Amino acid sequence: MNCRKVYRLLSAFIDGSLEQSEMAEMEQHLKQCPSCSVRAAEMRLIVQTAGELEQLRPGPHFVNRTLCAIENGARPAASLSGWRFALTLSGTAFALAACLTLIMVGPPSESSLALNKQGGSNKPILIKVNQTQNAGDRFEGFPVPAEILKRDLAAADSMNKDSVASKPTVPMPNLLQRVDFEDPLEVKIESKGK
Amino acid sequence: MDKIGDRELFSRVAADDQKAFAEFVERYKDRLFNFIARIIIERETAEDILQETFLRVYNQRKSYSPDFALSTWVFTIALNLVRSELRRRKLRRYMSLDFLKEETNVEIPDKTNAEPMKLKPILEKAIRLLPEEYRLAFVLCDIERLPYHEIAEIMRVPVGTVKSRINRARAMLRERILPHKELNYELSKGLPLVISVH
Repeated sequence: MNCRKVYRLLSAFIDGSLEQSEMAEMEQHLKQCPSCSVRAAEMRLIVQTAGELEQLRPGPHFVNRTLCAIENGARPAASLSGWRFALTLSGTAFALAACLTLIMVGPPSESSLALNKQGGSNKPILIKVNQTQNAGDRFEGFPVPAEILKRDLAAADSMNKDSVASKPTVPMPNLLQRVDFEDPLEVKIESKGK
Repeated sequence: MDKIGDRELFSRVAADDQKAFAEFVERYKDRLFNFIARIIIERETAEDILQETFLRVYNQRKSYSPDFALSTWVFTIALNLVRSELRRRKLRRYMSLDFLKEETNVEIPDKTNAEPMKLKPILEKAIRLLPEEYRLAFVLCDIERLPYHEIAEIMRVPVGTVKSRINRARAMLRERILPHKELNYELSKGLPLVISVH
């Protein structure tokens, strides 16, 4: 018998659950091999000490408490069985993933909703972008009701005007030249005196 | 009540004898608590699980089959509740990310300071660090002193698996207590321990 096999059977040897022939072989090996002998002694000590560990006991009123609970008709608490536990776990994971997606990507935009309406064809989907969008259409965050957006934009405009008005006027070079041209619709009135 | 066998006692429990059930609780509470508390560690939770075990035993008293040893049946109920609690804890730990700061090592004093009397607390700590299935097998075998075949029935694994888990658990404990190797060796030989102080 080699050391590897002794290591594997050591526990059973200590418990005396080996066949007689194996027990004899083990004893023979342990007599000859000091390292296995030490290992066996250590393991035996662990088993012996474990058996001598202090017995843990419940509190003094445990029996009364339990009998009272039974007398009062306490039902065992429902615990999660295997599949219910798995279901709960997967549900929690799904909810967590959905929240994370919502936080990172934001809610679906109108254009993506419109795309969803097109159905699940395999054709590439073209997104048309209107070059002459209004200010409100360019907003890419959470959808804001049109009237609120209009009000906010109006407020922003008036603030801009105010800030421009309050600024000290600085003489600017006249970059724009006034161009006068004849209005084709202008009606020229000639004096009768000429 | 005179000391009667487990089966006789439980047949009275099954016949709704309240006194017999009180005797049954008295007879099993310490053994079961010793097992549950060594796995669960927290005393209050261990008591709750113990009470829950007795509630289930009482509610299922009519369905007990005498083909199984009573202790096997009772320990199986307790083990199921212990496993449920461990699963709940694992989930809580992962949800709160506590597993990131999980205790990975136990404070085992340096061998130079070790005394023979300190071996028990060291072993207690080392048992807590065993992986769950190894800890269960070790506690049932070496603390509760249950035979291999009964542990196999309780844990619902083959006897060979039980043997291998117990062997591995003992080997792990030995490795954890390795700093105390000399102490153990001296103790095992029954020789006086020489403690060197630096």
